[in-house]
Amino acid sequence: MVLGFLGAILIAAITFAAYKINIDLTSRGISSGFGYLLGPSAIPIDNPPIPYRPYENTYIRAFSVGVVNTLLVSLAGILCATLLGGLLGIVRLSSHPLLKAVSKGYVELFRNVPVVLQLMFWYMAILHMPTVRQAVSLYDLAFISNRGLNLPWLHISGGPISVSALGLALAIPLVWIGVRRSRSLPAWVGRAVAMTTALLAAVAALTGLEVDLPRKSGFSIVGGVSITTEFATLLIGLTVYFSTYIGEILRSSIAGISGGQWEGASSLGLSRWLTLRLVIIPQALRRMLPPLSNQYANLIKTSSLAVVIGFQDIVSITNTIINQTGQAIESIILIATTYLIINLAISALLNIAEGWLPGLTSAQER
Amino acid sequence: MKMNSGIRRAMIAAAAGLGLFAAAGPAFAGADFDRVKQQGFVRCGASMKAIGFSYYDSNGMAKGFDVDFCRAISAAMFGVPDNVRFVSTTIPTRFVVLQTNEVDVQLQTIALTILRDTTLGLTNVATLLHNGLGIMVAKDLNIDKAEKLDGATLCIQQGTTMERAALDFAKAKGITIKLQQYDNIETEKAAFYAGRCDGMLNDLLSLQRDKVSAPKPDNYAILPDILSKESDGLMVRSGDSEWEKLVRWTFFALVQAEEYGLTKDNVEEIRKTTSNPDIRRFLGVEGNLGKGFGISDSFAYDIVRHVGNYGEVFERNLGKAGGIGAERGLNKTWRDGGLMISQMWQ
Repeated sequence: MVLGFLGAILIAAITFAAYKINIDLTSRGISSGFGYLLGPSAIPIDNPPIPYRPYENTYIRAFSVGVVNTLLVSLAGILCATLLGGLLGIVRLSSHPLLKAVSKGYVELFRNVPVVLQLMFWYMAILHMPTVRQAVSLYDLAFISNRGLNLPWLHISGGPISVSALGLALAIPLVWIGVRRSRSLPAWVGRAVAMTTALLAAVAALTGLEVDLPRKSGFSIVGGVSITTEFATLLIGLTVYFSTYIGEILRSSIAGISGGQWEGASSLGLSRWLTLRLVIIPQALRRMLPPLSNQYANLIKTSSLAVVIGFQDIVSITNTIINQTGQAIESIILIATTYLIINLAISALLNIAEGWLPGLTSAQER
Repeated sequence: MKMNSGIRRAMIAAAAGLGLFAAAGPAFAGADFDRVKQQGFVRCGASMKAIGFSYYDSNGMAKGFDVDFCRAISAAMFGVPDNVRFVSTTIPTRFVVLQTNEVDVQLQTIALTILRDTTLGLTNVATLLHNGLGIMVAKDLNIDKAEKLDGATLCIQQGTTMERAALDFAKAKGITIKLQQYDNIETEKAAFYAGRCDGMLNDLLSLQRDKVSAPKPDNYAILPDILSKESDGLMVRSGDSEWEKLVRWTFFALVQAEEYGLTKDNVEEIRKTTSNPDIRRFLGVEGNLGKGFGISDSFAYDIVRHVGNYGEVFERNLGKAGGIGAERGLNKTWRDGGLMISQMWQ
């Protein structure tokens, strides 16, 4: 009942604050409300990951481009930071003096310098690469310059045959994997699936897949898919910074596994690496998930520094929306809600993952 | 249910707090003019990081075109130019600090637009600089016209009117340009000089300043195209027309002084010796031009005496004397073919 009363006060306070803010804004002649989001957007976005054209799309679409950009760089960052962090954590446990020194130095350096400075450092470093007119070509298939990395890409241009062939080629193996889990299939099924998939892929490729090669044209490089300097900078910066924290989390949770596990494993004759892989890490994994989910949320929020190097994420695009429409309060509410939803989703996923892992023994729970 | 007294007290306090909250009426900015007069100084918003416009020099003194205007307002109100406080603002915060009453006047390069005038609770006071949007490119690109930039990438500062203006220009010419947006000008310039963008978009006066401070100024050229006009000026909060008018007439005083040929150095002498009735009235020797505001009749004299006339302010900060070498162009007085003209001083 106490909770209910406090909850009611909180809701009343928020409603009242919103009401008062509305009165304030109207009395000063500042318009409010979320309707401005439906207006035509005049924000230029380069390489939008979803279709977007200024003037033809609304501010909501522009904002969505920002959300997709943020998700792309955050998820890629989470993946890379976890891999690098995992590696770092294991290296930190080694007893070799050089490995210990180097990994400790890496962690101390990148953990203690503010992220903004690290991002600017990587950005300036990448800017020193050759300009696009002197781009380095890798066998004429890809180009690398200070505007980014341009890679060849596949287009599906053929008609229904090619598309359905590709679809089947992707779907059949997945179905086979799914069926195989629940019952055992005779050996020839596996071979047949492999051959059919290969045949379908060949059909798809011959009838309609087109390779889009990047090429120099006009002011820059067109064609293919490009990983821009800004995306790469943000990815490298976030990965390097957060790998230090993730490495430390790994190290401390492994160190937290009681010595008895190591002794037991060595009495079975397992090497250090096998012990780690089969005994220690599976137990440490469960312990790591809460702090890991914390770091992932931090990474997603830190990706908002993108605006400093010109990457158009949520915050960067919303800043422009605020400037073009003047609606600062509503836009900030929008940003805050979006980050809240993204982070809650990541936490929820990790909570589910935690449920899949083997439980802790009663000795370890203490 | 039994509640312990601690929780009960907390609930009563929370309810009382909410009641107080409800009792407070909407918060208004009071009369700005009276507040400035009472507080004894003018709070000016400016970037404080833009060479030529508002910055701190190596001795920690505030200098710049916007800074001089702030000093002029102080001279008009208080008779001395130093009753000023500068609040450093950025592009995203420049309107908010004015809306929330942290500054009395916002000077940081604002392009005056209808939406800014009508939807923010702020008022466009006057155009201090007739400017335009231009592009700077590296000379080795061999571009002489902006239309030839089809497919090029241009660096731009994020959150300004320039984005829309650039898109409009591209649409009108039927070309496509990519815009790379940056939050701060230093990163943008570094990216441009490194070749990340083919060109840099900014207002012409800032481009002139950036060209002069580039690592190799002779490698860059400012294209002759003006993508769009830009009226850069200052804004105040809406609702206090007295304050708005004082700021506007401060601007007119600077412009009128140049038209009369009054400078910082000669105004004192001329005030004593002139028999020209227009100038005598302007400088407050006779007449009562300050009566409407309730300030000294010689407020225009105080402005010119301490800050100079519009041309001096321009040359000192943005012209050759200021190291930037911008041409006055449309910012000359009307007699010289420009757009600077004051309303009448009678």
